[in-house]
Amino acid sequence: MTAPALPDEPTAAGPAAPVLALDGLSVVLAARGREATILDGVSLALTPGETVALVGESGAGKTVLALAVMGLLPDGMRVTGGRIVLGGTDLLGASASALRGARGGAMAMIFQDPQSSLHPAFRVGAQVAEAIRTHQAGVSKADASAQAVELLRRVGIPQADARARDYPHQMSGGMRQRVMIAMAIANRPRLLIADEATTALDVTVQAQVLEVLKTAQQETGAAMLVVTHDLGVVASVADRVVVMYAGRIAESGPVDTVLTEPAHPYTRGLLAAVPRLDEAAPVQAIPGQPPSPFARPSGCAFRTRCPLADERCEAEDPVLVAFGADAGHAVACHHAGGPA
Amino acid sequence: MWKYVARRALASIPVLLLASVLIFLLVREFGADPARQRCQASRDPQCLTRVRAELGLDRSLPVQYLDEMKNFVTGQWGESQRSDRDVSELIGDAMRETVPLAFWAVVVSLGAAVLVGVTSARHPGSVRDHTFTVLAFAGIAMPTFWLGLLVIQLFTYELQQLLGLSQPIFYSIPNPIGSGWVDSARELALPVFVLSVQLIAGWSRYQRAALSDELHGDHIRTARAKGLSERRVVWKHGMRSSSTSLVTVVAIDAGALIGGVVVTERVFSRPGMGTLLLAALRDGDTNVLIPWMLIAGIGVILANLAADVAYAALDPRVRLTSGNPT
Repeated sequence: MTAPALPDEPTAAGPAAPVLALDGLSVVLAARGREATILDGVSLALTPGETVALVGESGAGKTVLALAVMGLLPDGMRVTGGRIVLGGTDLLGASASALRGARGGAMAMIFQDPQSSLHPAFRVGAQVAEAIRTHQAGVSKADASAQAVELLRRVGIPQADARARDYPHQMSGGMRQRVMIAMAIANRPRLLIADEATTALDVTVQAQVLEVLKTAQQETGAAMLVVTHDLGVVASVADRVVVMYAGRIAESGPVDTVLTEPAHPYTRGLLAAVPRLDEAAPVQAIPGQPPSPFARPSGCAFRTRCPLADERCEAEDPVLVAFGADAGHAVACHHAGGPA
Repeated sequence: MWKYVARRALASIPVLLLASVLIFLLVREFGADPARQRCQASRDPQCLTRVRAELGLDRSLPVQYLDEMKNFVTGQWGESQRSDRDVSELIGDAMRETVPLAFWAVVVSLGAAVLVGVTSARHPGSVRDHTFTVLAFAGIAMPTFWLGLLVIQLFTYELQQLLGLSQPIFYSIPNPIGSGWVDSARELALPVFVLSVQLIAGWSRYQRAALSDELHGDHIRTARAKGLSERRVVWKHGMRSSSTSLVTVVAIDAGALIGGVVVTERVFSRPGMGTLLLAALRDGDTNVLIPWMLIAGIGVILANLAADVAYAALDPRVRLTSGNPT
């Protein structure tokens, strides 16, 4: 397999040419003759070394976005508009083999459940080595195995040379997720996607795996897209946050700004729903459920649950516009920054 | 791994013993009484007692059972009550007919079922998938004797007429080197085909179901995310974890084939295990029946053991013996 035809360095001028640029990405789910919009015109860019967290409730479209980038949308879903550009290459227009070359090469993904995401019948070392040999032509089996052991050691697996011969079921959840990370960074990707990578793990293990993930990112200089609903994860790893609601971006901005001065009522609701040790205030859940993608309300999709909603929210779709003094802070709300 | 295989082998011994007891009781208690058969024509009132003593049938059942097993294990299977031929010779001849038939039917069916099942699972809902589905149901529903007669008619008569040949079509294929393989192929082609139709139909459905489940699994998504080719995703990652279910059904069917394929052998007039069983049942030939059933039982148990070994080879989680599970 040959390497994908992606330029090593972005040719465009400027230090922050994006690794990944999504431009108006839309994804539709067709089921039983009906169509539902899962992602609606999402635009997003990641620069090298940057970590962007994608947050929102289940069903907001976070994972679909990640899978769309990887070209791994499940049956029934398809991209209906927009562009996905990875290091200058338009992935939606790319041939199947170019896309395969990019998967596991220039971009790699770590999934939620390391229990089911590793192949149960192959040794973990062999699974990492397979990733290496798929993308690096001319690496012998023995060299790939040695590299795999080295990768396992780098993600903090003790006695990596022995553990490489383990099967996934012989490892703990945290160790398995380290194997997934080793597999993902095997070809020094420029984009690393972590989809709820710590959600299935014990809390104590979560922090370790996050640390491994951050180190791996720093070593490879990759941009990282972290899909999570855990705002603790966001605070500890992300540079920027993108809050998604019902397939659209509700608010995005630098992590400090969004977490301390949230402008969208939905972001405020998410933050109020986080239990805190240092405050006596009770946890407040956001009332109601996210709308079904098959029955999206008119106007702002959040208005049915929003304390600030009025007639304008019902009539008019809010668009994502710059907000406040902080660069990069943008909100899609008619009452952005309104009374909390 | 070998510890596991040894354990499975040991576990099949009680199964074999239980089967042998049941077979013995079944044939002795519900089968024909050989003494009565022998005395049918006799006017001697002492005949029954005399023949029973002669055959050892007056002893207690456990003693008779042990005697029977000792004879089976030491290879002294006695003579057929019908033809006075050695039972070991009868069964040996029948096996020489049945084993190649069963073997080639399993090989052909396994290959075809995997190809059909994989194609269907990779393209669910496609024209090919629907075609295979219809063919599979037709294959399962088609009675073997009917299909057998049809292909005999077609290959030994219709095609010969159509092509104006002087011999049935298979015998018109030249065999210049006089190879025995060609002769066997001529003989086996039609029965293997008839037997395979049903096996392929069933097995391909299992393969399709198992693989299409598997292809929706998370580890397959990981394989794709690694950038593997679709061929490698399906044939290496998908097949490896989906093959255990096919192994199970193949083992069950293959084990049963050792016992002969009564209908197919009948239709093609092959003197195999199935034909032998029919004759032994008709004649109440208990000397044939008991070794026959033991052999068939051993065949089933060996096939299951082979499946157990295959599970262990395919799935490391089955080999529970070593390692440090969490």
